[in-house]
Amino acid sequence: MILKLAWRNIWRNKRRSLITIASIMVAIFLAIFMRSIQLGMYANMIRNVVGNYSGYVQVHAKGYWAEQSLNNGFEVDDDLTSKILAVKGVTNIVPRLSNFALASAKDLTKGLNITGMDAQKEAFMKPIEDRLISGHVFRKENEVVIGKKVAGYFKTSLGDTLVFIGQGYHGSNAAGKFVISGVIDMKNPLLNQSTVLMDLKAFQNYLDAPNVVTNLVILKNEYTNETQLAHRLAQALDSNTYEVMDWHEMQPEIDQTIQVDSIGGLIMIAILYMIITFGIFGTVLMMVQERMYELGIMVSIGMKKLKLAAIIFLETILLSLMGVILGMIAVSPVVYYYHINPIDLSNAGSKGIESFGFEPIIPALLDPSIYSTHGLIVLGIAMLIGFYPIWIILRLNPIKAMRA
Amino acid sequence: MSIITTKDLFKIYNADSEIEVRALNGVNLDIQEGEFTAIVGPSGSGKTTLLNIIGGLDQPTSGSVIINDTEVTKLSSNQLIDFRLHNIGFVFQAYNLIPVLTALENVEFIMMMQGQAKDLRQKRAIELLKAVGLEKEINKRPNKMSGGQQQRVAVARALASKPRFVLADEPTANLDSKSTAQLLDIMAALNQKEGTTFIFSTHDQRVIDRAKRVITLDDGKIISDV
Repeated sequence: MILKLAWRNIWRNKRRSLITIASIMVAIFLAIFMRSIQLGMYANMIRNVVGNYSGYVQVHAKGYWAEQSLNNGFEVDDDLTSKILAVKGVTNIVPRLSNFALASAKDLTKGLNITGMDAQKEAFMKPIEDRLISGHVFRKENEVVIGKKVAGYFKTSLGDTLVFIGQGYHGSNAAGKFVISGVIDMKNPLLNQSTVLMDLKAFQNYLDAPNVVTNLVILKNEYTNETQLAHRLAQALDSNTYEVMDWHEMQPEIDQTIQVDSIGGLIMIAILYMIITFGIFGTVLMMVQERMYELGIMVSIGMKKLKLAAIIFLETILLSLMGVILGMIAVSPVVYYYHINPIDLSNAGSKGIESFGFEPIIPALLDPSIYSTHGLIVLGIAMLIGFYPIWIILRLNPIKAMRA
Repeated sequence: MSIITTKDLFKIYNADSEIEVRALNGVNLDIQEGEFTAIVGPSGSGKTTLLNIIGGLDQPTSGSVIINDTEVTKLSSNQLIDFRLHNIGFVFQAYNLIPVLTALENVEFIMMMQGQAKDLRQKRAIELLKAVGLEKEINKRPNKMSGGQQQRVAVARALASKPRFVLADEPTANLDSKSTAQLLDIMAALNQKEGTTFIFSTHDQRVIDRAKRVITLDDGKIISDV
């Protein structure tokens, strides 16, 4: 009967209830859509930079990350490999050798980060071929693949030569000529302007560092938490020899960029919720005030105040719940559409977005937690507002209420 | 047997100010079980205040109300709600039904609050609605019924909880003569057949004419009791 009463009371003033439900629905729609787009952009960035390139967890020689020098590299032997593979959640290991070099072509020079990689093992991550814009993956020792902005900077094309000069292993000089075999889109503006990829063995030879690697990218199960995995790996390995880092430690700038960017979106959503709060409160206020006589009657004939308060509280929750559910239903196909067909800003002033390190393609993120979070926020607001009628009813004097 | 006793009942508004209003000025009253009593008097004589205090809806400034050995003036707000639910039926002047419930549900509602089983309360609600001549209107909501029909539902609801007595505050004030006559017939029949005690506050001569006992109030005092 309490539920029946609450439900029927909602529809006593259909227009007002529908307006309130519609406003909650629009707020939920906008909040979920805005957040899906925003988090989708971040997830895309993390996937491009972390998931498809740096990996979620890496093992280095101790001190390498603080001083990223070739001399802080290490050799990978079977014992180390088996120890790492034995850790729960690890699915594979991808060795890499990274070093800086000065690259020249024609009369242009640029400092670049060269990464030597084993194309076979890289296939466990996002295959390099999938990201090539033109050309092919390095097949010969003197072939390199360069980021698309590196190619743009040097105004080079496939088959052109880049000259690298840098420091080799233990202070030796390293210099070499390399042919551009492919141009790659790293799906990240910053990586695109500094990346050069080549064969691991070829790079080790160029640096005179046979068998040396600087990074072991750890591949993990999809559902394994990277921070917990890094912790397990750190326990399994000798901490005096190796350091284990997750991407949050290695690339705090991504976290920071996301946090800074995220604040703007959250402020917008907070404003939206503030407006909704006043909307719901206005409705609840009217629901109580216009029924004071009736509430007085109900208490007079013996209805317990707590039960009466529960009815009005339930009305507030039901009203909000309808708005939340309808908002979720309405936004789902839109979010799904933009998940499948990301918003492409590459032709519409994407420089601002790129300067933050984001790819100018924004896929909406399909994540149930976005729905549950915003649904719970609105229900939380409704519950808080619901305390107002409870307070009014607990203080209700039936005689005064019936005179109102 | 006396079911309601009031002793030196005073209700004074603005007691500390110069414009003190004595709504009840020492009312001593005994109501016997099975009475059909009208409390009459001019506006402002204290009729509604007396009914509100007897019904536990209001507190006297001093004095006591004893209903079946329970001094209701000493009960807490929550105890009073419970006491009203099990002991007193109310009929108010107008618009006193829950608008979103049907006639049947309105009558059932009070029994639901008493915790009665659904089949029992439905059976009794239908019986009561038949008794007040509304068997065809049980599924109508108040806004689809006339004022007279609404008051009859209110009487059925007041009786649903099997109260010790029914307090009716100006129950015929908004009714035409036909509806008033019907309502009075029903209440008189219930009083005679089932011994239900009715106490009215009224201006209405038609009600006064049907009452077995008429208590007249003026300036908060009983000036006649016949």
